[in-house]
Amino acid sequence: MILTIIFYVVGFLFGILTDLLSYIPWPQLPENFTNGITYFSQNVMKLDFILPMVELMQLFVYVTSFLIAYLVASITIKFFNWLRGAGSM
Amino acid sequence: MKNVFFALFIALFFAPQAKALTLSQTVTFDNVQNIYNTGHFNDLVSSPAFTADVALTTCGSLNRTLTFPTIATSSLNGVLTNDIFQYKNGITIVHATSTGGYVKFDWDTSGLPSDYHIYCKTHFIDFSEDNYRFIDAGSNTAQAPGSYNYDVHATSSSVYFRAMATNFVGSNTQYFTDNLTPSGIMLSIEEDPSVHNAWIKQLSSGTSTLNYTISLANWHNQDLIFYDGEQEPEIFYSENQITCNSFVYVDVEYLGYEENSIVSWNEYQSTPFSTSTIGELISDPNEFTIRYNNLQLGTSSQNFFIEGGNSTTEYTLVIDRRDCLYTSEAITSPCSESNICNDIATTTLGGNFECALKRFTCWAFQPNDTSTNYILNSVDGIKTVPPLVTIFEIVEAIQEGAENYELQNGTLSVPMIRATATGTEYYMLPTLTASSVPNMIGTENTTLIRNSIVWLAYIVSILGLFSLVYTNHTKK
Repeated sequence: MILTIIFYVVGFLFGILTDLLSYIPWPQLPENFTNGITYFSQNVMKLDFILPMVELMQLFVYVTSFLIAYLVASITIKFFNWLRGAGSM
Repeated sequence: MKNVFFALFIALFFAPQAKALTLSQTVTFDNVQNIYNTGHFNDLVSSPAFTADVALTTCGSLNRTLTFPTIATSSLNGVLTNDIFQYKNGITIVHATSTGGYVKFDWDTSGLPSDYHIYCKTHFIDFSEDNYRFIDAGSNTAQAPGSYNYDVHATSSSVYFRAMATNFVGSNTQYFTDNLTPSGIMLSIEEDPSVHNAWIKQLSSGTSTLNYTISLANWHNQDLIFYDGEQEPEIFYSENQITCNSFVYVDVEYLGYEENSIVSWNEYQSTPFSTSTIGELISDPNEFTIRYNNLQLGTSSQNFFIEGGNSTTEYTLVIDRRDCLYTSEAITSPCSESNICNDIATTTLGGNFECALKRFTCWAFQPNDTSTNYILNSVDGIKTVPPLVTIFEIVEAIQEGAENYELQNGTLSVPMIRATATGTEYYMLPTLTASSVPNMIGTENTTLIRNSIVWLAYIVSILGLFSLVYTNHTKK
């Protein structure tokens, strides 16, 4: 029940953040750039036979995801506290 | 500080959700299980090629009676799809031991139109030999509507039951199948409705060849749902978390009008059958079975074609994908009703307190599915807006590259000589391949280095990198 409520609240705040951020004009990454990254990571995988590249990549993605989630959660909580007058932006 | 901890908690929760690469996990069940497809029934009855005018809207009830209800013409929508467990209860394993037992089927066909007949057949499957066999074919004779009981002896560890209702007018045929294992755990897969038509095909007048592709797939990549004896979803695994040693077989029901039509099976772009197998297959054109072993879930496909005989030969091809065997280890949720106080002696006061504590903990800290889906959808939304969309696009690009590369076949090469006298392209000299290191130090040592020592090197490198950055930072 506690987590249920927390998820609803945080999900709601995430939704607000999403709505606000969506007003920012933001260019998409050039396709050449993303293709280059794909090509690069594809070639890095060649080392997998001696270096555990897949696991390393999973670790990288996990850490990146964690940092993103932490950043978003921090901003969201700051925003929430600012709304209730208990913090500053 | 509270905010930091809370944000940390949220981040820890969402980081795995946001993973870009699928972490595979192999699970092993105690008992051999069947794969079960809830969409199967709907596939067949909704197939345009089989515009059956029979609908089975309910199937049985808890009294273990399988009932064919009164059927309204051309009402075909969604029949049987969600009635699977009711249908399952139409079958009872009365007695099943390692040495033998029997299965009892009770059903009532009084609701069927009078010109319809029931074909029923029981298959007993012994998975212990990674194979299946028909120990007793049961009754395969057209039966007029009514109530029937079938007692069939079996020595198998699992039973597969199929019945068919048809009026033999055109191709109005329905199949409905069920799998049941003594342990009572079933596996369910949803599938892509767009491929429904692929599962049943008719060779009718003038058709001589039919190319066919069998693929076993979790089309929507939905979670596999395990059901326990209480018919409650117990475990949720994604497709990639299942190791499937499967086989698929194809039943061909000869529904033609010429008993001696020539039928032949041939393999097409697939592992060829032996001559004897083909001979066996064509020995009985009324019904024969073709098997595909080790068809992997989601990825494998097989092609074959059937050559029908003369212009009046008519076949119904039914591909049953559900006999996909899984060996996996059941991991049940600690908060499920069947597990929550399973190992606690609730007859004692202390046990009751312990059980109550567990129940409270589960109540308080296990979020419901709706809230979990809600927040996960919110996170998905966050990924689509700037500036995070940039990071996730990069992660997606990395994921794509990583997943599309065939592992273990890498070769490192260096430029050797020019490919042409004036060009800028070089012939590449392979210097290190996947077999180079094992050849030098042996496979075991390579595995040891790859799985342990390299990680130490990673850690040292990362620490060195942090140390370098930190030192330079503090000097300023």
